[in-house]
Amino acid sequence: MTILSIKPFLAVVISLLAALLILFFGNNVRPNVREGITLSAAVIKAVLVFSMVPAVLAGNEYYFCLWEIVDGVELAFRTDAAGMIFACVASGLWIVTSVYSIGYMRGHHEKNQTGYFAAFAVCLSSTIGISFAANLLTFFIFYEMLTVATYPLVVHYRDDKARASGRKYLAYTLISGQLFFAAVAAVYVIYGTCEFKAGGFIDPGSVSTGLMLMLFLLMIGGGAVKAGIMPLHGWLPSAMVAPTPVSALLHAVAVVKAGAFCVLRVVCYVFGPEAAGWCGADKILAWFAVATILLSSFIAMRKDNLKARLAFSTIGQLSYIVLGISVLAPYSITGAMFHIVAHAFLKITLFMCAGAIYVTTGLSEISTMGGLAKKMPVTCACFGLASLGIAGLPLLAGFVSKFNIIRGALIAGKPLFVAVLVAAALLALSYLIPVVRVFFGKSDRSAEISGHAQTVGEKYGGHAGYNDAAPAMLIPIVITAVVSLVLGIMPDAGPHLYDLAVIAAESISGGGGAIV
Amino acid sequence: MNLFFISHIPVLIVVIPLCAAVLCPLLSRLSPSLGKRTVIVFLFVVFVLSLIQLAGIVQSGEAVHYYLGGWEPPYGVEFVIDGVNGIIIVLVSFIGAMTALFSSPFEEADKNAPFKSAGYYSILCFLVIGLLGIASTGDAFNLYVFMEIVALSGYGLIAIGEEKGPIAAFRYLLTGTIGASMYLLGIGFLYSATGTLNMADLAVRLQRVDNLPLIAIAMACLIVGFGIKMALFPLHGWQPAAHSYAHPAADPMIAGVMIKIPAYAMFRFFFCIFDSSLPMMKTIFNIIGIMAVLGILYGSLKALRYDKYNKILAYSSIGQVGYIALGFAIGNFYGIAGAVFHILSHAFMKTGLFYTSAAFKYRYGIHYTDRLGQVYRKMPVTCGALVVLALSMIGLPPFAGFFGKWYLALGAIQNGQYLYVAVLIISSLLSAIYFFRIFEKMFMGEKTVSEPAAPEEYYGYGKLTGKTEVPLQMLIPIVSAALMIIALGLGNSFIVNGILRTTIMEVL
Repeated sequence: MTILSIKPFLAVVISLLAALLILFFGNNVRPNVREGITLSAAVIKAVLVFSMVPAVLAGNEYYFCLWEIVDGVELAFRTDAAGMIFACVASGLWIVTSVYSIGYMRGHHEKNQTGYFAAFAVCLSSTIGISFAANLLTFFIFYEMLTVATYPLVVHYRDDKARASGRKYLAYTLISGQLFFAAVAAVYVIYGTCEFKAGGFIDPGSVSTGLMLMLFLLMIGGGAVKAGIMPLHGWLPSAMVAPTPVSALLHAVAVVKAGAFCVLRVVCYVFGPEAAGWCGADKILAWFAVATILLSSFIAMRKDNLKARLAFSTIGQLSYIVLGISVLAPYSITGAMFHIVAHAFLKITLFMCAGAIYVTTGLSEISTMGGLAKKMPVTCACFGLASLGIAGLPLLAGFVSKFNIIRGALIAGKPLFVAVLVAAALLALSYLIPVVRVFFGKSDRSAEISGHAQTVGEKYGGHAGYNDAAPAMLIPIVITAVVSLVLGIMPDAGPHLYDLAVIAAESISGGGGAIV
Repeated sequence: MNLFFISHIPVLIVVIPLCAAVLCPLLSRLSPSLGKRTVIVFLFVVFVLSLIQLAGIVQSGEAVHYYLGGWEPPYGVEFVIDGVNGIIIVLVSFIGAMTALFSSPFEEADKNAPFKSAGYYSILCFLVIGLLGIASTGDAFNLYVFMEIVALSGYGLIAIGEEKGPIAAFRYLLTGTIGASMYLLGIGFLYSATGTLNMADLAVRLQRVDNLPLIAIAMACLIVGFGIKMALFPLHGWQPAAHSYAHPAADPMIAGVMIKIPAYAMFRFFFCIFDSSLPMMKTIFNIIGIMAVLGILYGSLKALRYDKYNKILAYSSIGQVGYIALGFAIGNFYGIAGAVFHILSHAFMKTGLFYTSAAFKYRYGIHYTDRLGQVYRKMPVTCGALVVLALSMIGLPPFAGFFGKWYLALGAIQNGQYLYVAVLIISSLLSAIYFFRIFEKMFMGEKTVSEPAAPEEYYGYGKLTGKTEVPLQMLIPIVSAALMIIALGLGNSFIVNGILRTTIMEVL
């Protein structure tokens, strides 16, 4: 049943309004008021999004159409189960990231905070737009908005390094965005619609294999760049120059997940499993994902910079989602969708830990962090927990998703992928556990660290001898770590995200017919 | 009385600014600012009238025919206004009024020369008259007359500009005259074949003409004529200098609107007058398409090489005019709708960007993008508008520039002209390079704008402390251009389906 309601639209525009307010008043009001705008918008948004969950669980969809945005296509929003998952993750984590941002940005005495919080709000607006978009054009509009809104965050420090990464980021995303645009226009001309439909609206055999494959690749390129599938991942490690909350946003909430979500929409809601399989696109996508998973793990092992190691870990994990989708089996699609959730919570925990360590102690290289756990026990414990979760250990969120993806691949009769998936889990252990071992290991550097922490503490927070991170950073870390634990034990806790993933996967295979 | 007034709106739209243009120097003798205010008020009245006219056309769904002096066509001159030119008249009168408002702080600065100020407003008004006339008329020769009015006032406004203005104006005068002569030659051929100059009549009588070479020659002359006037590659030679050195306050009108109206005239001739079943039509459209493709690439690449803000914008216009021509070359509904929509959206984008350029000149005498560092802290509203306009120029949604491109791409794909789609994409990416380069300089560059280099370089003589946003008369046009870009973008289907569709469907 479709429920006509303005809620999805409100959920999108609320943070856009917040961004305008922040830009208008940001420099004239006290920072507390400005951050108040961010936080209240985040809370309202989350309430709006979560209030729609029960109806979607019951099999209904909210629908809202603004008007015809171009001849024949409407600017419309629809909350199907897949979009709901992404929206829940994004809006829930926005609150957490906002609190963390406030702690980080103030602790670090960052400049240009007004622009920072405004761009952040626009990013979230676009993300919710992406998750609720009812057709390709609406999707594309928000997708490009996300590209543009992330740019000021990437170049936040405004030095030469930031400028170079900004250029790189734009080069990758704008080029792929333009190709995506061409494909959307072509699909609209050929099929006369661009409305998302579970199971896809493109019939196999409607155009020649070559043309369909080209359309698919043009379209998937847009998603692949943001999801960091090799060889299109180049922008992602360089975007690490941004402040850590931005990295958290890029790598856990908005940008890379939007890329993965784009892959999901294109494969399952535009082409559909049947057409994707018919033109051989699923295999191409799967092999790229396999290569990315393996390569990124090996690169991650060699990185000493904590954020860089996490960046390559992200690249690998995102390809995990893409591989799950391209296996085209119901279980693996469920797993892939749930991995959007699991990875978001786990990776944001890791990034927030990295940022907290940096702000509190000034350390960014893993080799200098020996014995850190003594000084920052809670942060390091959360980091360890999330590391295990990324590797897919049972009782943690990562396990649920990975188990489902592997189950799907087994049922679909693709043992090679199963091997890759299992190997990838072990590889994730091999590059994250050493970090945890450094944290909890002995080191004669601990005196040095504590000295630095003291001076840093005095300089920024005024807490002489402060050990663990400031509460504004520590609380979000603990929350996300606990959530990933809870989701591991009870995947259906809270807004029933696992059920939503199952519903979405069922609707895709139901609509697609020939799915294994 | 009311009906009488309504029925004369088509001609009032041209006559009211004519009165203002003539009255302005006289009234300036009485009081220095009276002439200027008259022009601004009269142009806003024209804008309102044009809206009433457009509303009437949309409501009735039929074109308005107005016989000047009551002489019926084909003997008398006729104004014909349908959906396409109805909205273009709204565009011209709106930007005309806004530009007149925008100019006022510039001319206030020049207290010693009240007559110069009156002359400026008078010429600006003539420019608007000429553009409105081209858009309104249904007579080929009458169009030539208005084209000359535009050109003559254009020469004046370019010549009174910056140091190199007179040279640029002279170049435009030479090339522009050739363009006008080619146009005259073209309609001369058509007149010799048909014995009429009324456009509707021409369309009917041309169907009976079987002298195809003559029609082909006429078409070639018209393409060269319009091509020069709209600065279509490779006939753009006059344009970069003219757009860079014209009077900064009038430049938005010259760069934003003056080159679009000949593009509209091109639509009139090639879709409304010439029969699309003519055998050489395909070749003609291919030629226009090649010119457009080369122009888009050339303009975008050239814009990368410059550091001077106006030069970047001028070369980008060569590319953008190519978009419009590309739409005509595609020639189906989406192609033409995209082209006409791009006439509207690009007019607002380029006018708005030239407003920002003039604002930087006004405040800080900035001509080069290198000196824009941190200027956004001083002029936040102007720079905010610049960002919106530039993103629209790149063609990013949800701004107007994207939707023009969307329709063009749809049209090209329908015709299987994938090369055109590729060119649209490449041009978008190239313009992303030069506009994001400006953003980098503006937001990340070294602070350079605390004080202007020399007082004679800038116009505003106010104190430059704290926030130094430009005066309200300049801010309103800047902000309204940016808002129009957003409104046009979000409401594009109302324009394409509500206003343009009937007219375009008739001529296809």
